[in-house]
Amino acid sequence: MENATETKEMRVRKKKMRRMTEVQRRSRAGFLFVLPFTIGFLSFYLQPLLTSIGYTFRNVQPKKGGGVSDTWIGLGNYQWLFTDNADYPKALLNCFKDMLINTPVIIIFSLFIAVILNQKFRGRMFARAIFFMPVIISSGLVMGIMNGDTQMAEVQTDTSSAIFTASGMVEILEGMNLPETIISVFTSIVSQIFDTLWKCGIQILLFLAALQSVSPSLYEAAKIEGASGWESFWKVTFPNVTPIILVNVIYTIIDTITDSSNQLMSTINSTAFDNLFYSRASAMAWIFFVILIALIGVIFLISRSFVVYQSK
Amino acid sequence: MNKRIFATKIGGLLWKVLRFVILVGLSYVILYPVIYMVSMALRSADQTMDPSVVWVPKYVVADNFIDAMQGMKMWKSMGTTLVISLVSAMLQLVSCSLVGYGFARFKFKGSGVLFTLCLLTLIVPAQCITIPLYFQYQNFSIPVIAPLLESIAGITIPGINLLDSWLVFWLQAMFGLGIRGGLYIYIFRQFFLNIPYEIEEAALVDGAGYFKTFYRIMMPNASGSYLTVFLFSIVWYWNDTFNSNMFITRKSTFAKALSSYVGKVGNGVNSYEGSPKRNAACLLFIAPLLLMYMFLQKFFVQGVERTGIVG
Repeated sequence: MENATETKEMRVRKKKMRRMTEVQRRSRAGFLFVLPFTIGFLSFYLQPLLTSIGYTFRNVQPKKGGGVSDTWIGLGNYQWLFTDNADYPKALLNCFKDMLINTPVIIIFSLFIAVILNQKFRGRMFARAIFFMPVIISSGLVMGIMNGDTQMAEVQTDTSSAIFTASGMVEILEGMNLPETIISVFTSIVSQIFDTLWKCGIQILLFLAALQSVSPSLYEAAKIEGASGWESFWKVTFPNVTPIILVNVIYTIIDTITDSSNQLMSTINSTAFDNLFYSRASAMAWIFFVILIALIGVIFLISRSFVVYQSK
Repeated sequence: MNKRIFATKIGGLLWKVLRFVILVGLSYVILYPVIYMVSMALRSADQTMDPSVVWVPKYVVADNFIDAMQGMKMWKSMGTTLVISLVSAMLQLVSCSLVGYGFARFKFKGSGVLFTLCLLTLIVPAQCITIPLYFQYQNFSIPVIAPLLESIAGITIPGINLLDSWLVFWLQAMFGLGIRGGLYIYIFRQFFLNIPYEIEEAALVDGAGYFKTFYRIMMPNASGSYLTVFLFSIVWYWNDTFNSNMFITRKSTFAKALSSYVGKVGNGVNSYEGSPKRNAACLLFIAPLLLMYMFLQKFFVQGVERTGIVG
């Protein structure tokens, strides 16, 4: 009996399937594949997102006896941020300033490393294993502890394990009678190498993957045309990795700015979780989010003129 | 002509030397903190400031590790983290690969909008939505379905408090919204875009359904990217303190245990005495990840190569 109903159902389904066109079936399948995300977005993202916008116009605070007090105060939170609070505008400014300086450095550096790691040489696998290690270790937590210890080692320069300083190089450069500005630029880059290199793991990885997808025939053609290595980098490699440059720029911006150890995020965190000013913290997060979105929009607009897509 | 060949040869040789120097130098920069950690963790407290000890301690002690293990309640907190990160990573693999495949191969009404929303989840800082999410988890009822039931059938399902249960991690991972879920969806999408369409078409013509084609044909082909995403996912759940601080208050994860232990022994420029202990704790914390990386490294690097992500 059960069997019979099943086959009937299947027949009905088959009929339905036949009635649907190929395009309809494909779009239905696509909808089903993406369904987990759609459900997740609607249930775990949209509502909190909208609620959090709502919070910025109200004063939401936990009451002493339990429960939450909730009053409408209009733009009060935003006003407070920029008039009575000295920390936030400063943190915001510093955060975006740091990001604007760090992003190009990280992008250029990781592209350079990826190009090197993409070349053939002995021990390539080993070198790659080392360079991807930051991806594994890198976390705000361990990095914080490591940075603390590196600074500690720098403080003890003249005593023990201060192997990791630029001071030795400064002496050499001063001995060469170079101008002060050059020395200071050089030392700042050297002392930043540690931070930069440890932030580059994912970017190097993405660049390497992109470099490997460049067809070898393009390089052969360039070689036959008589292009040098330098020329073929700019004429072949670079245009082919521009889409990933865009991805990496966006990723780097987001990663550096939402890094929980930076000044802005710790200001937001302490406002929300230490002082329990939920609304003010939400307003802080939303202002920075709007600026970030605008920035990313501008980057996308600029990218149109230089990003080359293979499929177009 | 001969001169030119000679010049390029010299140039090539110079580049090789320069490349070697750069690679060795930068490898040193990366390995330095790890070596430093090992060296510090094996010292006794009085050797921390000893100028005569540079890399190799005069005598090796295991006290720091024992103290760190006890201080962090290592086995217990590591077990907690293992359960959270392994299950979440598995769930993320399933959900993100399905969604990524959907975005890569099918066009339907609203797919563009959904993909933009997916990227949006990467950009919105966690701080924006955590507090409302906290309240949602505190009094959790099944979204969409529960309100519908209430308005149509009049049945009220009482909310459940999900805080302090692992479900706060697993539910989001299940629906592709776990930690960095958007990034993984993006990676999978780019990977599936790169697999030639002909392979799938053959299976479809043979009468396999879309889902069967996916797990019989696409999944085996994508094993490299599965491994990459799995590693990323484990690593990010392992290191997470933000979510576990927010949603889990009664139990301690490994990351939380580490940060509170480091807080106890002291961190920063002026706490020399704590250095061996906190470095030992750090080593214990990253050791499982490093071990996993060493075992999977070969596949991992290959996997990345085959991922072939193109924007």
